[in-house]
Amino acid sequence: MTRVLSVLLALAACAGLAAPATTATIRTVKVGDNYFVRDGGTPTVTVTRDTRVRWRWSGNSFHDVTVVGGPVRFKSRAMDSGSYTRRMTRRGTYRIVCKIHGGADQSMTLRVR
Amino acid sequence: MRRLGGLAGFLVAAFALVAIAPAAAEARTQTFDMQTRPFTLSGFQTIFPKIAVPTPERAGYITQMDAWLVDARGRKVTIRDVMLHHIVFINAGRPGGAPKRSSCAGRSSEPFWGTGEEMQPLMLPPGYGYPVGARERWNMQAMLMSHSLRAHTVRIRYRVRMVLGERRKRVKPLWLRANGCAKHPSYDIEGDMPPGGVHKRQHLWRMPISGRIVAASAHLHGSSYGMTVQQPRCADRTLIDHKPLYGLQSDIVYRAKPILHEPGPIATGHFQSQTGIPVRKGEFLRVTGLYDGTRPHVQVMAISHVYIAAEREAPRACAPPPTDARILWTRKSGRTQAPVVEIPLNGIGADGQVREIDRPAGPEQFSMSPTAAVSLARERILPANLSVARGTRVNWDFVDTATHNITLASGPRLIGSANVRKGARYSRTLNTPGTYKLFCYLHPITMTQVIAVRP
Repeated sequence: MTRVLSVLLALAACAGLAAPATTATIRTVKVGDNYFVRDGGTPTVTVTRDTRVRWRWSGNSFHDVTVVGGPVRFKSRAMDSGSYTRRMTRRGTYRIVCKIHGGADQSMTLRVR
Repeated sequence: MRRLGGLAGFLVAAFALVAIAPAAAEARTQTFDMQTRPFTLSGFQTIFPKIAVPTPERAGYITQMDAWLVDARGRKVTIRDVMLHHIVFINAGRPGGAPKRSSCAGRSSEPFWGTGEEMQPLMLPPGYGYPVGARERWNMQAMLMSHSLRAHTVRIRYRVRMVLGERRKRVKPLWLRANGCAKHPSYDIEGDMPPGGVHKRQHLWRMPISGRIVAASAHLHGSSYGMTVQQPRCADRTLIDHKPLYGLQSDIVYRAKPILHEPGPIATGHFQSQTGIPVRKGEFLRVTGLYDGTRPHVQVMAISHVYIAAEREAPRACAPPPTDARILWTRKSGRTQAPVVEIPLNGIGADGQVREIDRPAGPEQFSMSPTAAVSLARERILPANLSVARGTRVNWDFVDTATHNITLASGPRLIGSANVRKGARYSRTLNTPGTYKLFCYLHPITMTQVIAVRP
């Protein structure tokens, strides 16, 4: 158990070293046809403050990325390919939906620590 | 908005009228205000719910009905967001009870009220009612079309006015379609007639009962001249002449963009006669749908919803039409002639906004072959732009597992497939030169195609 913990701590330390506070890391989030990240459910993605989150379109339909609850509101345009990037400067929990497919169909939670 | 207010006002007035009418004063009338479960439509989605719906759970006689879409807060939803293309309520009878009979053989349930864009409420003349039992089950079939890029959650709200605790003369609803008992209630119009050409579709319906026609309403689509119900036994005289009324140019149905289909009439008139027109069991009524035949029209309908008060015997003589026969209109202002509406193709621009487009993105594929292959895959129609010689056979192959269709937006002749999925092929030989603009009406923003047929 302690070994697992120490490995995890080492990994965490590595991650910290690889991403100095001055250069924001990038976290990619998949925008699929009627889902974020993976098909089914409402995934939670956790990032640290100042991370750049890049939503990358991988399906066939049009989608958008719209914050419907959280410290900052933002939204992408409706797109069927390409990506949309946003630097997360405010801590908190963001509820994000695709307005085209609705929160019941396509939503995610983004946690910024 | 004022127009909608006017319609709502009319409906309220119509419902209030029964409450104060002397004939209804002795009987107890009650309005049951109900709604379906919610439906969520994603951007530009079209859905066809077929569900069981709540009933008043009371035995009595239905005299009036209407329905509209509401949002989560109960506010009326307009065509700008979601359009109620059509709705039909069907009585499936009581569990273990005698099966209900539809107008077509082999269907054991009875449609008793339906309407489309004309939004015609059910209105039976005083003294009549559609009998329902407390334990009868109702199904509802509808078509809802989103006109918005955003997802919307809507319910269908419907009101049923009933007479309780007192008998009414029973009416039998008959669904008389110009295309008979064909599998699909709709039919296509090729658009190959010379200028002024009127497309007629006709069916002879055998009357299952004797009685009197006391009410009738029509469901018609855009470009219709109307429909008639004639009586061959009496020198083929016209019993009911259903006329469409189209919205003014300023009407929301022409202004709500994007336009995804040819707008239908805003009213079709409602025939009513307390005396009624006698019809005899076994006799035929000729039902004719009249449409513009000079341009192609996709999946039109002509259905007369006829309500017959059953009687053991009806007179053999062809008496003159009843003097109390009248046509009630839900809308006053409009156009009697169908406006010519060219359906555009639509797409999403680089700014994320929906707009009309001349053609889809991508180069034109110039084909010299006598056959041309098109695939519907990954929610696209490819090639999106195609040029073929006159007489080319075009095969559309449906590759996606999702259901798609090929629907004509505009062009010199009809092109139109059913809703089909993976493995299906739709073919058409294009003999008339011109530009054909096509789309999948289930994916109207992403799936568009332009085919140029060279002379």
